[in-house]
Amino acid sequence: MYYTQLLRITCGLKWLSIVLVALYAFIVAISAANGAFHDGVHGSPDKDGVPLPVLLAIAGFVSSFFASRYARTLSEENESHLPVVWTKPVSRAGYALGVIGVDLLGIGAAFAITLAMELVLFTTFGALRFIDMSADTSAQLFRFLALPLAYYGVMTALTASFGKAGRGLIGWAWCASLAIMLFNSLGLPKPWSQVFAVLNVVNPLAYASYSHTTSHDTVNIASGPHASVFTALALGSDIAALLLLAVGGLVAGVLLWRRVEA
Amino acid sequence: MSDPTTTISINALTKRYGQTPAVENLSIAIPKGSIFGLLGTNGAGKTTTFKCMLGLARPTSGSVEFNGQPLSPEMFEHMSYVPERCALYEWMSGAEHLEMQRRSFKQYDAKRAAQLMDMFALDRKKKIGKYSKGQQTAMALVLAFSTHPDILILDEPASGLDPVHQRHVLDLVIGEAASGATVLFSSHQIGQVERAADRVAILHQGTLRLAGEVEQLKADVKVVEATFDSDAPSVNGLQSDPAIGYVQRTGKLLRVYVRGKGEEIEKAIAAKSPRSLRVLDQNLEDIFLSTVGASPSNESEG
Repeated sequence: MYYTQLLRITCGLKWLSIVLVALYAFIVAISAANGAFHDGVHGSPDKDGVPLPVLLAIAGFVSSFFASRYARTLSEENESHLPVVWTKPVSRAGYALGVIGVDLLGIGAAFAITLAMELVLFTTFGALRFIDMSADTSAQLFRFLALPLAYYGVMTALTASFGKAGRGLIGWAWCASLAIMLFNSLGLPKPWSQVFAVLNVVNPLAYASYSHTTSHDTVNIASGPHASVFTALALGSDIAALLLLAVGGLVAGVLLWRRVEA
Repeated sequence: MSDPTTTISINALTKRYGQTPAVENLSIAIPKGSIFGLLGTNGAGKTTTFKCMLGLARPTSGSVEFNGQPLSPEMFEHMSYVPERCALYEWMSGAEHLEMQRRSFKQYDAKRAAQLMDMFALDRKKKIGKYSKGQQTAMALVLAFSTHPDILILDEPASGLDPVHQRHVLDLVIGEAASGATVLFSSHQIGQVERAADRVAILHQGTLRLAGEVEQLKADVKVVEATFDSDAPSVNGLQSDPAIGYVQRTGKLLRVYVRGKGEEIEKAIAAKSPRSLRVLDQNLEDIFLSTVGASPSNESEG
């Protein structure tokens, strides 16, 4: 019943792998040209380690882009395929949930492939020992796995009623997500600060901030000098908020899609 | 209680887009095992009717029943639909569409699908986007017929096909009906409808203008054809006669399409001293044209 979606996701994962392998080859080639292999990787893992959550965050953002592509699957069916999709012996909600199930597996696979490529890259440079397994790694894993799901849910809700217009909406939604995060962190005067704070409630990016200070540097992900109020939330609350966005968005998306007319 | 001999029952179906009516108060009963042709000009409401029947569009009012029951997803196991515009996935191959069908329908018959692919000379490996329009239609037909449906709804099924494959489609439709399936189809090619259908309905501007058995309709309508020594006279005096469907004047030729035997009209025209006068049977095209008030002639009344 969900064969079409299986083909779509498989194709997407194939292309993601190709892009990541190409990127890996590019980095290795550049590094080799600069003599990185000859010089080796120096330093002390205790002082210069890369926190694993940074790698998880990268996998989270890559799989969020991947999730965005498939968040418009229902919208894609609206373009002209409803006479095929809606004349199968399955309810519309049942079909949509099946498609979503396949997509969620695909998003998980995209996350795993990206993380694996990152680890392969570290291994290539003999830098695996520099990865710092901080105490909250497992919670961060859940958070950065929940991030693409939240984007998937929100964007499914945004696009489910539209046909071709859904394609553009995804792009604009990403722009809006980044802009809201940016404006919210600039500490604008009222009422703008309040407006962006409210908009940030449904912005998955607001729940993905990560900050880590090493001996000589600070790593900031999705947070600025005036970080969102949500960055003050406990990690568990962030994960819950992301999952709520995912589930809420998907429920809204399926309900909206069921009402579309061919 | 529904009639057990009726497979599809459309009851007072109305569909409006905003204030614009697409289908208005349409009621049709389609008997089990029949081939029912739905005729109409572009925009007559044929496709909207199909969409409302299949739940692809929400009727403004009215209902549709299949074997006395409202539409449910399970019914699609025994029902196939070929839309007017290609709804297949351009990025998928023919073989992948067959696989999609196999995974979706319990009644999918791989052997029959293979026969139909061969009959339409379709390349399984080719992407649908690389197929011609006619091949895309043929692929949709292969999928529709591969599940041995009890109910087939075909919107312009021969669209874009060459004459050989059009004939194949007609043979398939007739064959399915002979096996007990009920077929509802629309076509602009009235000759095909006349050959295949045992019943027709004519829609015009969203309303039902005429419906019945093809043979009965043909028996019920005649053409009174007269030629004159000079230009054919006007028949304005006959316009109020409800039996007159349409009047066509082309130079010295006068054709009056009438319901019933046309004896009164024949007498009235005979009084205008024509050189020749005869009463002819109408074919389905004549019936259609007289019903929708259109004519190939450039000079017409009615």
